[in-house]
Amino acid sequence: MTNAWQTLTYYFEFPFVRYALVVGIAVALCTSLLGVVLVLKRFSYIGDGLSHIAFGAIALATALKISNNMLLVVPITAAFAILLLMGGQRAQIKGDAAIAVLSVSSLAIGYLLLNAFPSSTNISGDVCTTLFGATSILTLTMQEVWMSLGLSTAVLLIFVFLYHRIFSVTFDEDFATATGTSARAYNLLLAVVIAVVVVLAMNLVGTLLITALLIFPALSAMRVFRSFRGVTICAAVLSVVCALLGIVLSILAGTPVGATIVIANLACFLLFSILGLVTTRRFA
Amino acid sequence: MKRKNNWMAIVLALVLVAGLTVGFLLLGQGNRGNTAVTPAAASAFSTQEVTAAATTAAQQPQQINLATPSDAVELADPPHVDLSRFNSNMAFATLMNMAVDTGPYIGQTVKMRGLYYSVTFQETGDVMHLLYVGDEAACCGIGLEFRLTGNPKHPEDYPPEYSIVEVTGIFGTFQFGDQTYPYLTANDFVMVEEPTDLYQRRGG
Repeated sequence: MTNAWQTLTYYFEFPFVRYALVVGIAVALCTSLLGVVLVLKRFSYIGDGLSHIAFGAIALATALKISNNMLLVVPITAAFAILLLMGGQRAQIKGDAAIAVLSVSSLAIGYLLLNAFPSSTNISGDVCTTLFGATSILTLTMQEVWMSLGLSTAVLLIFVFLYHRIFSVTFDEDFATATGTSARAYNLLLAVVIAVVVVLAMNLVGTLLITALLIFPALSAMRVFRSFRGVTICAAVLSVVCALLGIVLSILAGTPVGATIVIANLACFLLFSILGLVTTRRFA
Repeated sequence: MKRKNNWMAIVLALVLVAGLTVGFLLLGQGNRGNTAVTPAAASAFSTQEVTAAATTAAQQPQQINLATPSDAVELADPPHVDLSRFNSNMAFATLMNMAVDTGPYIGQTVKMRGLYYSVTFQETGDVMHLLYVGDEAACCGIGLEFRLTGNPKHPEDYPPEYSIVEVTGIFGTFQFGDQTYPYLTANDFVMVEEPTDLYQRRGG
């Protein structure tokens, strides 16, 4: 234990470890807040779909030799987020089918582009790191840290200041519209915010594991809490704790960061499920 | 009031996207190295890029100076950065950061352990010596050049190819083209016992 503590304190002397913790906590906070909304709107898998679309956009940017790939990735991801969330009843392909079509298509196109237009000799390593986020969070530059913090702050502020509107649009769009709230406008805002958060979270857990960051904290909180406010606050706390625990464990044990964070979330979900069962039976 | 809040939501969404785009433009997000995909591939000192740099250098034999001081360098004890204590993921991540942001580490004593291999410049016969460090999944890796003081001869005074070696040296950089490459100036190397299991995890 003492040895692990000494190793940890030594690791903390390196700035990139501190950056990883700060960004990890900020991203986990944002994903947990949005995850509550997505789970309640039955769009739990949209994070996975959007992350695959972002992967395809990254591959396209690489093929086009665009040095600043975020110029392409964020707008494309946001556009598809708007398409998925605001397609509405008139869409010919809805819900999970729409997500599936876009998700697998983007993944296949992205991988094909990377093979056809390689920018390095280690394509497998690039793809593996992007998909699973093994050490991406440990190789952030200062600029990336500031950008991540800025965006996370923006997402948090949006959620705090528009909490009541988001609440009404989440639970009953028709009622929200009837009372003068434009559900379309807030769905547009949510779509853009989700796209931004998904792109940020790709650095933390990789493309394939983003859904876990979005849904696990919300689902865990819902096992115990019944109010929207309680679930939101609990999900935020759980997500931050699991991200912190996951990052620390991964750097100590040499495990992939993304997978370790997801397993921490899974353990938390199981624990809260048991807690929820016990609490329900006691008060039944 | 409610209509105003609705417009505020739309404006916020547009401002977020615009701010993001401008922000990334200004801060150069993703503009690191030759690829936009991952930091691993964006390393200025991946093994593949070292080989590529060496191949390019072979076409311009006067561009890289591989000379080292004949006198021994003074090393700090304990070293400022001890990568031999790290697990593979942390060693790889630390080296990546050191290769991308060399400034804070120049002049520091660095101890590292890796797989030794050499690259020969066919035009001049000069040899570059490197230590390769891969992450735990072995999907990504990075090599760091080291130069021994005292005018050693290759291959007699160097380790066998692809052996695991520990080197402690002073961190420095050199320019080649528009890229900055790091290297260690070391007095000696230490052979590390080969693990019985090729995939044995190391580090603490």
